[in-house]
Amino acid sequence: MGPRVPLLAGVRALLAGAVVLALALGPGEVAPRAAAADLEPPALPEFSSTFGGLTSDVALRSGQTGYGALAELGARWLGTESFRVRAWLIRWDLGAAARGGVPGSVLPVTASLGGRAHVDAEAGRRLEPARPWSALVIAGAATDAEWLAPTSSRSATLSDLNGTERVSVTGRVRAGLGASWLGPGKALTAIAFLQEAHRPTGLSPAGLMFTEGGVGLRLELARAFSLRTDATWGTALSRQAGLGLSDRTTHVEVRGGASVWLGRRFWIGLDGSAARDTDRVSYPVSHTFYSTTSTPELAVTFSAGYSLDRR
Amino acid sequence: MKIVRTCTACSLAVLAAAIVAAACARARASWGLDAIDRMATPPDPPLACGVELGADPAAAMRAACAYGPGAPASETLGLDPSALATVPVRHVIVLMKENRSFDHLLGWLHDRGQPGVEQVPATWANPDGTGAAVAPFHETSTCVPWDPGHQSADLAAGIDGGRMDGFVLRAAFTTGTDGHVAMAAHDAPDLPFYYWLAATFAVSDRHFAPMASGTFPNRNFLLFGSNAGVVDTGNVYPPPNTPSLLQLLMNAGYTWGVYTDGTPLSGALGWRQGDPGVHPMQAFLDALDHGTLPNVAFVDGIDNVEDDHPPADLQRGETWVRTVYEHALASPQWLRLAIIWTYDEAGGFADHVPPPPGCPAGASEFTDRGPRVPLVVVSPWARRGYASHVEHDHTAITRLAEALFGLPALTGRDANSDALLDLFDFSCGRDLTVPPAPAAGTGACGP
Repeated sequence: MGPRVPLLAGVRALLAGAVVLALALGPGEVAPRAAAADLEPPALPEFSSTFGGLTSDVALRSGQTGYGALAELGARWLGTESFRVRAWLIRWDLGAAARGGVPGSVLPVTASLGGRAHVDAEAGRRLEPARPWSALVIAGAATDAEWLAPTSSRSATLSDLNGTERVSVTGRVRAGLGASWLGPGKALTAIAFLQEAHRPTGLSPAGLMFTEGGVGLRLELARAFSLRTDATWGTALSRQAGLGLSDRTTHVEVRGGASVWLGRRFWIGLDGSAARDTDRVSYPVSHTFYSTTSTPELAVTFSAGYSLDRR
Repeated sequence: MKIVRTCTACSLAVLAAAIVAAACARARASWGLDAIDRMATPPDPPLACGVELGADPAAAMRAACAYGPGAPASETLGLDPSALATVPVRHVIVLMKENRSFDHLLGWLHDRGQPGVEQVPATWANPDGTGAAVAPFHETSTCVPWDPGHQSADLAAGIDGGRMDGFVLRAAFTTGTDGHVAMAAHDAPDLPFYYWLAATFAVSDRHFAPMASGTFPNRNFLLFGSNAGVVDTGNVYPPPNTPSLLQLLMNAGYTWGVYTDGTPLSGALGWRQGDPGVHPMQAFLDALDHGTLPNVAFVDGIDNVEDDHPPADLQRGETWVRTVYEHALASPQWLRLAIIWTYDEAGGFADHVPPPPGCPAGASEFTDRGPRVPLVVVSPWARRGYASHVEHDHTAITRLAEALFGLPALTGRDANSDALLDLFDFSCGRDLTVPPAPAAGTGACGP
């Protein structure tokens, strides 16, 4: 029972926070909605906030491979929309970019160039579409692939921990429950989710499958502002048959970010993330184990976008 | 709305500053080895002799890289486990120094008391930038001020596909000199104690750095049986959950210690003084004096001063090794000791023997070994005046510890290594006394 209490408390706190935010953002619409809904269906507009255009970002990070700095220039299409009279809420984020920089601070430092592509899509069913507040059921999937190659003849000067010279792929499938609030030009979702995530680890560059749970909060003001946070916790089990050992990796990750539009076409954003793996390496034959903690992976990304939409 | 956006932008800036500050304060990994400081070294079994190492029926299998992680040493060495358990050596001291090739440090050993080692070919030379051939030459100063490049790209250029002719050009590129320093070599009058150790005890003239790269990955091979994901020296460390010799020793109830007044393990794991298992040098000398050594001791001199890493004065490093030797010789545990004096990698100094590939090591894609480095087994049980030509790398030291303490192999590299056993003679009735050692050299570092 122990671990459930903070999780439930966290979900409750998130929902409470969402209510407070919703009240702050649009108290005029929230108060009369219940009475009006009983009389006649309100003519509530669909929510839509999309962006299609050019993006660039600079990411600074530290972790297992030291300090790194990578920049991207590419194209991205993302958005959040409701449809079928707000019964469905979908969110997507697709992008492809050229990527370059210094992935790690191994010596001598070597620059790398490559590319990255990502797809993140989520569909949500609002169970009470006529109301601003509704329970929400979501399902989604995401994948992110990156390939980098050194730019100089010093072809092997980077650690193979950081995926250099190979395609590094992460992915996840997610299902969750939560709440959705839709107001004029505003959308707020708060969900608790379970997911299966595949990601490389230090010992398994090819990746391990993690079973994870988490919570997420997203606030969007159409083409004006967005705020997103996710916190996940999960574990993966790997075995090395030759040595008869098992290794349970626990992954904890918190990420969040915000974007703000500056005029009709430009936006800037800032995202940050912190992740850490802890491991319990067990040797069953000798009944010994070692609890280890990896260097945390920290990242901060400054981004900017230029919309090519005709709005 | 403008106010909201201004506040948002301010908030983003503050958040950015906070995140950047947090990222700069890079947290360290935790290795989970704290229990080593509470472990007691098990008592040594009664001293035995007469262990017959005999033929090596598994040599062909090892040469074919047939063994994998988990393989017991008794199987891969073709020895009865009970015989291995009676080997008198119960404490291994790894004196891993820094950055000297075999030809650079002991290039005249063939003519200075150990004719069994391969002589440097008279025709071997490296071209310099003008095309002139640079042959090995006697470097009279023992404190060479230049540190030739010795990471993976440098070693690939130096080895040059096995032609062993790119060291001078690469040293010129990385030191800004004519690069001739790569062919410098020291003779017995410069390093009398080093030459005496190599000629008196058991020396290998086919010991290679396990990876054609720098300190970190090569030292990782000793501890993990692989480079553990690290390609070059820098501030990248192995994942702390990587199975290691340290874990295997502790699993079996045996102990280890890291001793230095400098950077533990030359920085390969990012450890510091005060970390679990790390002790100052005086604690090592005290352990020798009192007979309280752990089962495996990793001992390093002060960086660039005692560890022979350029620009250190080699004669100071030689004096440091002699101090260790004198304490070992006087130790109540002398008859249970084996000191492995070696170098982590060749440091960009030239060597004439092309490195053979090593067996695959776990998920590592690196099988290219680095140039030869000196390796001498100093022990009452060392085969006296013996020169071994068995090809191996640092994982042979790993395999020796695994053989002595009944541990499984970590990866395919140590599983298929020979454990240095031909450098030992455990027969009974031998004269275990050693002749007096010369003093370390002095005065070759200029005024």
